[in-house]
Amino acid sequence: MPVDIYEAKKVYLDNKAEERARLFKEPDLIYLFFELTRSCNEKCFHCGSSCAPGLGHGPDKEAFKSVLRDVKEHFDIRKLQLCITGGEPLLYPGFADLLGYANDMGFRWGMTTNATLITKDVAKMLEDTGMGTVSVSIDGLRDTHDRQRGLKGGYDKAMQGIENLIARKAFRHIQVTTVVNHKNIGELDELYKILDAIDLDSWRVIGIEPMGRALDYPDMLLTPDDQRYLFNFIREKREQGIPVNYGCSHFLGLEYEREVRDWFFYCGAGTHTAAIRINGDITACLDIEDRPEFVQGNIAKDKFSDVWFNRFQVYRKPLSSLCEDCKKCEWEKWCAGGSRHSFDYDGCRQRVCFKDILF
Amino acid sequence: MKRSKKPLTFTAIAAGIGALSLAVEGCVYGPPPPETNVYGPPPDYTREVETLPFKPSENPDGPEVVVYGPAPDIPVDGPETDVYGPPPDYTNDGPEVGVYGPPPDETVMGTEANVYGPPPESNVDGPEEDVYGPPADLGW
Repeated sequence: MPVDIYEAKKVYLDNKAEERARLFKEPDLIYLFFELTRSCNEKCFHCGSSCAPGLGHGPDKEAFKSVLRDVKEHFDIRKLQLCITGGEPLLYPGFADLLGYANDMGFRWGMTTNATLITKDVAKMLEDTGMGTVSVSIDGLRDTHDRQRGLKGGYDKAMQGIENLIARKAFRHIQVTTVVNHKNIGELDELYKILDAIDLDSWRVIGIEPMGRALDYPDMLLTPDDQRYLFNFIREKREQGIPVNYGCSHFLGLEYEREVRDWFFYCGAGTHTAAIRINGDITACLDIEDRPEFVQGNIAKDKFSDVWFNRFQVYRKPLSSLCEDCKKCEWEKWCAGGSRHSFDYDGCRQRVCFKDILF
Repeated sequence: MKRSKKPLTFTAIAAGIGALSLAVEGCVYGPPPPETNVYGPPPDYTREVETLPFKPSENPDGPEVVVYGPAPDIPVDGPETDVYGPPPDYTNDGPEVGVYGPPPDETVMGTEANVYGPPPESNVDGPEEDVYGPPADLGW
């Protein structure tokens, strides 16, 4: 890559660093996650929140509605996306009522789903309640998907769910998300051919993260060679105008930053992103380890807006300030310690660092 | 999959308007447009204004390459392990390992039933859920 491309990227990354410093002082909420449930009709080995059948649901819909009213009063909801997640969100009692309410209030909302429950009737319900975006998990070819997600027939049901969504012609963005691991990475090419034949808006391809249930399977984590293969795969597709995106995680160095996704790295947990957990706790990104110091309040006793504006300080300082290696790193200015969800807060080190792998 | 009408990679954008133009324009940061607002931070916008002509680097082998060049030949952390550092402390993965590793010799999914606990007492949606846990209970 010519040196001047790197120089141009440095300018962007410098601006991003300035923006980060500003956001620590003036946070700008864009993504508000509602973890509706931890129940799921699948049981994925890589699940970051260890969801499974029968694990229970989040706060009553009236409690979530109260949060929505508070948010509408204190934030510009035209800039805000409500992100519905779980578990499998469709298992939440009162799903249609809650999201219909959000839609009537003017919230834009989208959800992550395994799509196995999206029949034609459910797709119509999602249209009626104003869903704009949806991200469906497909984690490999049929057998791999079913085995890794613990539901025989799950692949076929999910693909049918996607077709049911597309058929409505009502949703702004339909995305497939694939969690890549050491075992399924060899299926990317074949999976691409399948997904390319569908009228999707994008494909989000992310690496398995060392968190949740995935910690039980270290042999499934990506090797350095896997990582390089993955990033080259994504870049090659994007060079052809095919909308494949790596997820929001991790600083990727000058070679891959802004090549494999539409933005330069920035972990927005606590400055762009907040979340309500199923127990009502107010936190930042749901993928961040659930530790007491990260819980900033609870919707049963606190107003979300008060918490967002007056607490959250734990998220509004560089993560690198916790890590001695990061402090000394030449990339710290742009990486700032990396993603908050993959940080080892006991060992004070970043679990996922691509230095010496990608750059 | 839909095709993007705009170049997606920084390199492709730079090829269109010049890397130095991009550098001068810098990063215009704002709320995401609805159509790209799925997951991840807001995209970085570039105003496609050609303020400076494209100027190739006069010194492509200059010091930047040294600083930002490829990884050293000898990995700092030793041989290929994984990028996430040491494995977790526990070592007893038990019978679940076979579920997510190589395909079991018996490929019938029903053989894995014990992983997910006993079958539910009731079965609404057919045999596969019977094997893998309670049937879906649509909440809405």
